[in-house]
Amino acid sequence: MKRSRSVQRLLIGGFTAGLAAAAAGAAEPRITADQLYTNDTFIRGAGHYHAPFRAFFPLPYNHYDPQRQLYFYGGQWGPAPHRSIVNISAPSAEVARLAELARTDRAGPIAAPVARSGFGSTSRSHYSGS
Amino acid sequence: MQRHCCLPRPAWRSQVESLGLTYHTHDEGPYWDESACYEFTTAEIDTLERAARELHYLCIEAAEQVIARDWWDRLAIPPAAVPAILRSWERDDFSLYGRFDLAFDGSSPPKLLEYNADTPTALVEAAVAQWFWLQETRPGADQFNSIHERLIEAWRRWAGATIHFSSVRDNPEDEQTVLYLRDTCTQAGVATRAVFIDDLGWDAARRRFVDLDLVPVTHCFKLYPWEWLWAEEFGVHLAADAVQLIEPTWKMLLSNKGLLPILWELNPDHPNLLPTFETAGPLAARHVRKPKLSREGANVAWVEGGAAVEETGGAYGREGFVYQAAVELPEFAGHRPVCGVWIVDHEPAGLGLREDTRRITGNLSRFVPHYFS
Repeated sequence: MKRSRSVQRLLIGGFTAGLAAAAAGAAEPRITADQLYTNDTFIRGAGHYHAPFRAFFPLPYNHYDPQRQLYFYGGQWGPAPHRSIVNISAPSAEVARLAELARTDRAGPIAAPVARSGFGSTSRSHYSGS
Repeated sequence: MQRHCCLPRPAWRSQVESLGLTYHTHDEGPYWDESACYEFTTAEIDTLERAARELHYLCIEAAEQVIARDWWDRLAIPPAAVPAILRSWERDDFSLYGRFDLAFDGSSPPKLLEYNADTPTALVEAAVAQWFWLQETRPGADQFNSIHERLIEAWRRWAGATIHFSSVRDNPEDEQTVLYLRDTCTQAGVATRAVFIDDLGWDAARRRFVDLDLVPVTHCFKLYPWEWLWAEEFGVHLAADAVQLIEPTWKMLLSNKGLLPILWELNPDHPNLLPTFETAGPLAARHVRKPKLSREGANVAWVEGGAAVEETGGAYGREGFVYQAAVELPEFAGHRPVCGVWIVDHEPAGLGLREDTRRITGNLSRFVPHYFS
């Protein structure tokens, strides 16, 4: 048997589909270390908040992978769902800072001197895949 | 190895689109073609798998020789890239994938046509679309295809990092390929973000690449050839290793058809290699001329009697050409398939076939699913 046991797609659509899709509508307040979040709160770009671990992750708390029969929590995979009495907590200061940087549901920091379009010019006359 | 005619699923277009294969039809007809499929035996699949594994390590050994003997000119590698390639090689920077294109008729040993080691595409169709096609049409059969789970497994080592995914814009195949790879990375539990290649920013004050939200780009999968990156305006910033790109820069040694004559020189008469040289002389009047750097079969010429009898256009060839012994692809009712064997994390992981009525497989060749029993 050489074929995959299961194949699933989570991100479908355009190039910016999924977690980093540009958001519409009102943005959440800034992520700070004194803000409480309930387990599995989702903030675009930052991800899903795992309250027992006080951090954001790309997959929901106790997300189940049927192929490997493993559960995702706190940035790791385990054979059984994670159990915790903590269902609300505040992120650490460093986690809050990084999550705020990563979020995509509102405009980023105001202009810094960043040059763009320094890559991509050759593709206008060639095809890039092979 | 047999080719069968099949009745396409009535809703195949919407079915493959729902899986991300939005580029299933070219201006000149279908690209995804399930009006046919190929059947292999287990032994034939084992042969392809063994050949790909062997060839991958032959390529690594040949790359070592390029480095040891300073054969950079033979691959037309720009001098500015050499120190970064050496550092990347020494660090053994992470390589995700590649695709060998092999000529195989089911009985003779598979022959290497080329190694797409830097920016291979035809991935969504090989990893996903043909897997679902098999589930629906031949659930009891097997398929050489564990690409999806191997990709996820390969990404797991990046837990804790944020990986950006980058492609050119307005190219559905490239965008969907990168979106699929990002999907597998997400399923591995790794944080991901997207940025088009021309949106990558250079923050000169902090000497780092950033995306449109000014988030630092520390690791980035790019579906964009290394030789282009080095030649463009921001190429000068690559020398400082400000970002770890995937595929790594050492893959420039493997993705270059200039490696084919070196492989033959180091492994003469190897059953999986075709005689290939840097001049046409040793092959006399019948050979295939290929640019050292090109994509989708562009600027390839099939030469007989000293004249090109079939030739593809394109904008490649500035770096020079190699000359490969002409090998006829097997023919099934006028269709000539090329076997694309995928390598994921240095191991063979699956197969995708593209066929054409012409001798040169190009960007209009059709992808045809397969199974084995």
